[in-house]
Amino acid sequence: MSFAFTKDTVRRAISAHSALGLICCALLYLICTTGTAIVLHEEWQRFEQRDAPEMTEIAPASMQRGIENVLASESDGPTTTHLYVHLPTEALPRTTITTDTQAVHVDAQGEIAKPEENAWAEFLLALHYRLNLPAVVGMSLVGMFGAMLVALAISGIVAHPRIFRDAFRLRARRKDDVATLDWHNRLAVWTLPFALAIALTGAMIGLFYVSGSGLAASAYGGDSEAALAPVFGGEPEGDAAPAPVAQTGPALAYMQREYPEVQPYYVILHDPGTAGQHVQIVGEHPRRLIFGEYYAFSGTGEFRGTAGMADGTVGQQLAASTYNLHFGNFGGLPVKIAYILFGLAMTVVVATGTFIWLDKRERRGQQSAGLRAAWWGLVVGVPAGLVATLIVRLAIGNGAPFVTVFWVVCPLVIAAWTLSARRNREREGMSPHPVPAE
Amino acid sequence: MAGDALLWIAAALAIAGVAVLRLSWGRPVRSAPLNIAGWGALIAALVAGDFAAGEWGITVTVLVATFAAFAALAVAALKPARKARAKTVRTSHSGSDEVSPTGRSGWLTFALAGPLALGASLLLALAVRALIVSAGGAEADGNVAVLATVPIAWPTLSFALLMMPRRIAQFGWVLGIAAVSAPFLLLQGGPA
Repeated sequence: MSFAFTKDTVRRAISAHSALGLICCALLYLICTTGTAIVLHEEWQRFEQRDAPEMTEIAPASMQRGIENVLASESDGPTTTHLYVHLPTEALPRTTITTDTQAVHVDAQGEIAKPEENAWAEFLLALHYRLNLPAVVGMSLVGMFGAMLVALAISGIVAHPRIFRDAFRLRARRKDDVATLDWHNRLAVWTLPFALAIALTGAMIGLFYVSGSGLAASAYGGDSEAALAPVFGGEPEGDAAPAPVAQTGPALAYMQREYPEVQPYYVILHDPGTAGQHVQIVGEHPRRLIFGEYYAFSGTGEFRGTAGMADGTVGQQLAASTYNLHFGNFGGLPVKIAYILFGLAMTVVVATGTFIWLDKRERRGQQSAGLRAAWWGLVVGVPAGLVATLIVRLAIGNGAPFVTVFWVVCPLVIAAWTLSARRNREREGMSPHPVPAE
Repeated sequence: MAGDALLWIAAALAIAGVAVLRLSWGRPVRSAPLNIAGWGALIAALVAGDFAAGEWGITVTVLVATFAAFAALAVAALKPARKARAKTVRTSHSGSDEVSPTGRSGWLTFALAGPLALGASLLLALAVRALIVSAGGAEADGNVAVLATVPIAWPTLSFALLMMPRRIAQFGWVLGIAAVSAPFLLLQGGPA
């Protein structure tokens, strides 16, 4: 089967594909590499802090004790506006309480065990999410690269007239330009549904500051929270008058009674210790792509309703499915393994795409040895930078300067690779790259 | 559980579909029956996945099909390389297949396909929202439509612009989409 694109269309598509790929390749490679690594975000957290107390579940009374212990530990400072309790899950069997100023693990009795130390996993997430830049700039940039990945997929399809006919042709053992081309095309074709899902959801998340701001400016007087309220639900009016801390036990008991199939994994206290406080429980729905449903309760445990993530409008369900579909945490370890495999494939597609461009340059007689060495440096440098930060994490601890280490090691590897290649060329005095017969 | 059984059927159909297509596309001559059988099995797999567990079932089925294709590729990768005759190596990316540079300003092309196309796509997305809301759709759907339309419209428009040989056509499309969409800004009108 072949598409009936004209030869001129195919040629233009190849040019467009090359232009887009060249502009995006370096950061896209970084985003794909970190995206593959971050699939194991929960597992990395466990690896980072292996001595944190773990449990398969926590009794509601113990959880309540944990909440009160954490709030008591902050009694001499400003009161937190939100308090999040991460309940034990299969991937992360820990109870962790996060406030505006701290995050601590509690044990099965609700006693504060130790501060949460997952700075490396958070660094990795920030590198993927926003390239360690401020959120507005970084997320928008990553979102733009996600959108360009969509454009690369479309142009790649048009540029490939034998897309189906060649779908299983992989001449990997030729060890020349044709092998590079086959790796690029075959992996790209078969990861196309995955790549489109990842790219579209990533662009939707990343471009929020562009599209959400446009929406807020045009319809909500610039209020982004108001623009999101119809989708994820809004915050009720607060009342700052002091009150006893909300009881979460009745809310959890209600969930167990009325929604036994739903697995609560987050308890959120809004404005704890005030008369306006209220409780939200985020519950996972088995065999759904949505991240969960918000179940709202008053401070006394009276059920107020759901936000509609699971059974609301199509738009709500679509928005709620974006994160899980992007990060691959909707089907346990098997889905995570698939995401890692296909994420690696996408990384290889980006890497080989630039090598194909370099091969073409050389076939046209343009010297590309320096560029090739620099690209090799980046291909090796990004994972090397990540490994260096992990080594630093293990050697120095949670407070290690991960951002500095990564952004020093990665360029150093590129520079070292480029210099080494230049020295080798000078020593050998030979052609920079063997040109295959074609 | 009936859902479990259907999901296993979906997975089996997905693997079978990829296997049949591998068989079909490996033949020297095209086989319409095999192609239909392969595609049919894949479509049936998606339907079974949908019946088993909705969008979750479809997603898992696609992952299984992709995994099966990777297994087939792994087999292909292990096959010994044949010494190809130079002229028979067919690629879709050989250098001579590209259009030669036209001397157009790369920066202007970048501006058109980048920020200008993004701006036009945002206006288009806001127009989609206005249409949804004014047609009686939910405000949530309209708002999510904005967030979802931009990542689809922008890359599609960018690619289309890069395919256009004439600068005037590029400007025409960007400005045209923006001009048609802009009046809908007046219909946003705050919360529905």
